[in-house]
Amino acid sequence: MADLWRKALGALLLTALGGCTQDPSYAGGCLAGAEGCVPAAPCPALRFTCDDPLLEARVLTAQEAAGFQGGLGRAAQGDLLLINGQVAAVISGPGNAQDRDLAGGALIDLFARAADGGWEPDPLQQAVQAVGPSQLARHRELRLLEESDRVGVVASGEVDGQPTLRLHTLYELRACDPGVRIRTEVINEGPDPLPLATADWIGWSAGASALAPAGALLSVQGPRSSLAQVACNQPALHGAQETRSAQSGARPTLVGPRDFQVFERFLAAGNARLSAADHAREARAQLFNEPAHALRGAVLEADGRAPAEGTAWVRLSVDNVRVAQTRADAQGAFQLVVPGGSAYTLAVERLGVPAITQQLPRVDAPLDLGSITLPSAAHLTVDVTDGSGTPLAAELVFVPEDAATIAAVTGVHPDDGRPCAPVVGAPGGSAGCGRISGAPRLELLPGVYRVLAHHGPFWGISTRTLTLPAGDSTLGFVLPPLAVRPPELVSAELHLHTAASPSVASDDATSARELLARELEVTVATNSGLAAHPGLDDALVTLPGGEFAPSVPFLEVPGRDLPVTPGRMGMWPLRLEPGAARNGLPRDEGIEPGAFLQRLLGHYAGVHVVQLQHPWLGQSDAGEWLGFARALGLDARVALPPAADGTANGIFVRNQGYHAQEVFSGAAGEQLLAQRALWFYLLNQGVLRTGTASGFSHRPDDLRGVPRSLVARGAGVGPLFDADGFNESIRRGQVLGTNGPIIEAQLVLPGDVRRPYGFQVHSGPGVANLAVRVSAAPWIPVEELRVVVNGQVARTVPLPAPVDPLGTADTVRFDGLLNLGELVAGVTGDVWIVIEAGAPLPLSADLGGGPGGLPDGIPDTSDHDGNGVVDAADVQGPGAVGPLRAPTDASIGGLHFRTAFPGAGPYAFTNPFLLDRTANGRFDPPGLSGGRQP
Amino acid sequence: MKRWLLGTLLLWSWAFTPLDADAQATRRKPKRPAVQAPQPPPEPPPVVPEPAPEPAPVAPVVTTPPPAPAEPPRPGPCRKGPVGIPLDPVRTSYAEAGLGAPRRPCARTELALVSRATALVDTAREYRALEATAVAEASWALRPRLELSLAAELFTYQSASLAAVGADRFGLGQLALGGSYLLEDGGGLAYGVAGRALLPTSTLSPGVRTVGLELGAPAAYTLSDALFLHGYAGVQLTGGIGQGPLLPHLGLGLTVGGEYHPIPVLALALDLTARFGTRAVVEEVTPALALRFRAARSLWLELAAALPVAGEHGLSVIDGLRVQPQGALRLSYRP
Repeated sequence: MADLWRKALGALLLTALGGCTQDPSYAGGCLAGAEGCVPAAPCPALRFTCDDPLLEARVLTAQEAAGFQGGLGRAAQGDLLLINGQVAAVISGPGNAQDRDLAGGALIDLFARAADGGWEPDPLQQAVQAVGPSQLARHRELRLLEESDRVGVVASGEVDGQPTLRLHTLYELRACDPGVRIRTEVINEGPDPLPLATADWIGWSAGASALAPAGALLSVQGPRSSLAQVACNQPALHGAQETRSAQSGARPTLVGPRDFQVFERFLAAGNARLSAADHAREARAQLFNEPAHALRGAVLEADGRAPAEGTAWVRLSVDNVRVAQTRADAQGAFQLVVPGGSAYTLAVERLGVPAITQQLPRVDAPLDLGSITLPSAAHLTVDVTDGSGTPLAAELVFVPEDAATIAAVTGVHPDDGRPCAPVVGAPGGSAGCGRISGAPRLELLPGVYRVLAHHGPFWGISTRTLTLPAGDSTLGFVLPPLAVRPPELVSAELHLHTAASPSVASDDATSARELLARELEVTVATNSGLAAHPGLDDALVTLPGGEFAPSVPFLEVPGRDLPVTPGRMGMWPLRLEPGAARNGLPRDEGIEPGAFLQRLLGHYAGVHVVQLQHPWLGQSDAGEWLGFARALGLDARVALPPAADGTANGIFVRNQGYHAQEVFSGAAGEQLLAQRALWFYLLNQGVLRTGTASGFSHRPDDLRGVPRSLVARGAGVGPLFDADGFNESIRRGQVLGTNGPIIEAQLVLPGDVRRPYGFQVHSGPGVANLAVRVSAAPWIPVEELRVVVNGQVARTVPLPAPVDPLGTADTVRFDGLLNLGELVAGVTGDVWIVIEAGAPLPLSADLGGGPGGLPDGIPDTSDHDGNGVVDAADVQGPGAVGPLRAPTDASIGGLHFRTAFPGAGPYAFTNPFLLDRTANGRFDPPGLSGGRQP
Repeated sequence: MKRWLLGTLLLWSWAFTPLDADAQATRRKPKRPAVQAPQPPPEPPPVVPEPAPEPAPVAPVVTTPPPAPAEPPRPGPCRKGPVGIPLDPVRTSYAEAGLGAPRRPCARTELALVSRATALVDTAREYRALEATAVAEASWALRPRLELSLAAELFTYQSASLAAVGADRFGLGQLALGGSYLLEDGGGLAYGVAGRALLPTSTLSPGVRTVGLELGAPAAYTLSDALFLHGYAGVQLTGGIGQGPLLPHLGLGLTVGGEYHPIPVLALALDLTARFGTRAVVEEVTPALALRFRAARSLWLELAAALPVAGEHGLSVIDGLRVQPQGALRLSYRP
């Protein structure tokens, strides 16, 4: 009997132990948690060959860090560099964390070597290890690994907030690798089984786009460089993909106590000649025995002319599933590496429209497709002058005029896939979508177009309908100057994201061309979490700034179930520290804006401004709250407490150390009425902050500089620009926000002494009138003038329309005196007055929208059915409230404005005049009632 | 790898090397005589009244009353059980594979099928988990005082979600082999020793094999024909075998409880278990309740529930809800 028991037990033990996984990827030096361990080499089956033996690992010095992206990229002193002849990978040092990188150890740069020996632009924002959507790695230790045949960085730590989830990552580079091999081990040392999906959260710059996820590899293609991720120890990648990020890694599995999950992958970098996807294909060929072959060819017009670089894409698909794509270079040549054994459909897109489709034979060997002939495009030479023959940087807008042209040119932008009609190519520059700025030579598909040329809202325009044939043509436009903008006001874009910001799609040269074509003179670089100086163009004054932009939710807010990110604040001018972490900007994660601003003291280079950016914008695709006041769920129905009291309004109070607030954000002005209501509420509460207007600059079709802030100038622009005077003007409230109309307004004091708007308090009863002059270019409709007193429109003055929108007359729409006594009738106590001009304001109301769906005193829904009542029937879309409509102008006279600046209708606002009517020497805020009887 | 191969060979050689008769004879311990149930004291001889003698003229006759019959010694709880309702602690456990569940002192032959479910909701961690297990249990009273036991998790299903990530799995669970020896069963008290070994049979965790050992002392006490007390103190040691960390866990569990039999076919048991360990000083304080009744001639049914109320796994409503209830249904056959 005992023998039987013994045999049974033995067999049982053998069964149990024999079942232990013998997968080699489960063998590793860190799984057991040994001190100083090094994880097993990732992706050992990969082999790449080259002639360049360079292989180094080192800690970056400030000087070396400054060598990447002009010192204004993410690489910083103290980061860890892995470099060979193909790529350079930068892993953030312990003190250099930003965004989702909580404590260093994230891959923040992956540069591919360019043909000229330099580095291609880095499309990678970050690659951060995670085991779930918000469960990020927090590394405690980083070590360099230097061996004869490999270098690496070992990052050890845990999953943030879960100390029993131990985590080790090895970044490994070998001499010929066109990318980084990565192995992450996550060990569950807790008592509960946990669902883990070990992955990389990969963010890429907005200029890059991802191929539709196919599972085998993640492929991100930028204009000149690319990224691709392929799994090594599993056949496919799992995760989710957004527009500009992906969480890509292991399949979610339940990992029991003492068990672990291992994810090995290869992250390749590609240059303009060989894309990262090609390297990834090669890797899969080695890892999973998937044969891969190169396809080469060239796309040329019949006369041998190559299409403008970036306007012709070659895409391969099988059964309508796209598997590879690349764009033709300046000579029209292309190369793709594709899995063998398939017969691909080759499609060539020219200017966003399918031009050629052909079925290729089964690919079982490298294939040279030779020259593929494209239909000819219209090649334009553009000449724009100011009437005196002086060349002018202008923006050209192309609108297809007939059905045939619309059908022929409607397509997608070659870089990012957004709908375009037409795509406008510019040799040597980036393609535009229906418009292009400052380009002397253009390419677009032949057709009939209405073409509008402008140089910003303060100049005359030229527009005409043209038939553009295939082949060469010349276009000439004359734009008359108009004396609309007062010379003492500087055109400024106070919120510009440059290419160094991961959220930006356009390169800096394109941004500069757009700003100059729209007659911007000053711009402020406010890159998210990164101090930056755009250095855009000598003709454009650029102030170095930064943006408080935490991306990890942490702030607990009453009424919200989940923590929030506390919005955005921009600040300038900053002392740049090239090569330092975030170029000198303090870390902004896990901290409220008020505390962050305290950290910033000492980082400014002169009189500084802090601007609350788009305070009522909602959440991003990634769930970040973009507007601070809305993130808090600020309740404008109740007064602000004198100090932080645990309410949302109290949190706002302890973070109100800013100088300016965006009222008009982005050309569409989607939150204009909400931000206007918030600004008025805060003015009534005595929070006197300058109202500003800024364009968006994240997405490629954002109109930089539309709207803009006109700031009372200091000493001048260019070399004489007085930055301190400019910033002082903003702090004093001497700013006009506009997308076209100009308002000149002054208080008329006894003796005809005139005072500008701003935060100077005017005392006494002697103030009798407001002198107001409204002007605009004739093509900009300005339908009414409004005077707002303590938050309510006290008077509306209809304005006439110009006779000839394309002429130069009728620029002045109103010029007169408004009696103050009439304006403040019914109001007791001190008052503030703001002047507005433009399109009528659409009816809107507050149906909810606050935490828990409760009203918050801020309008959220417009009267979409036009019945004069805002109610539930007006709610459109999935939410319980909204949308909110911006002021719009649908008149015939507004056609040119809508063509030039699609989005919100014309709108301009001054900053407040402050009247101390009680003559007590100060401005006493009127409170919620605005000094009126309830 | 070499070490694993060597270990495998050694194990095979140990398991399947036939024992020669001499060795068996040497190793075989002499059988202990079967423990006899305590015999009641012999009945006193019946007192037969003698015929009355003739009255003596000198002295009166004095008779000595017969001695009172001695009180029979109280039987031990292991002999009790009006109609065989098992006198067991409530066998719920949050430890791995049921290790640490309180044991009984009495040897018994029994087959049981147990379905057990444990849920865990921890809103602060955004963690939710569910585990359902079907367990086959067998115990064999090899001797009146010696019991061998086996518990095999035939099927285990686990599902968990952490924030937005969810996953589930199922497979073969752990196997536990054990035994107990009754040291004393008299005077209303029974106590013994028990041991159990956790064998690494689970297929749920590919990278680790969990092994464990438990030694404990079960006890039971008869308060009355309808009321019994029981208790258990056990020490458990578990660890992982594989490439991952061993992470040894030492735990001490103390269980006290009672069982009430209002009618012969129904019992109600209530226990309180406190577990201390290396993971937390107080890992759990768990009350458990079981309802037992006779379903058929030899079939018994038990419904049990447990809910930790304190300790690391305890109920909490601070900073979110944390609750980890466990329920079990046991169908047992006792020949």
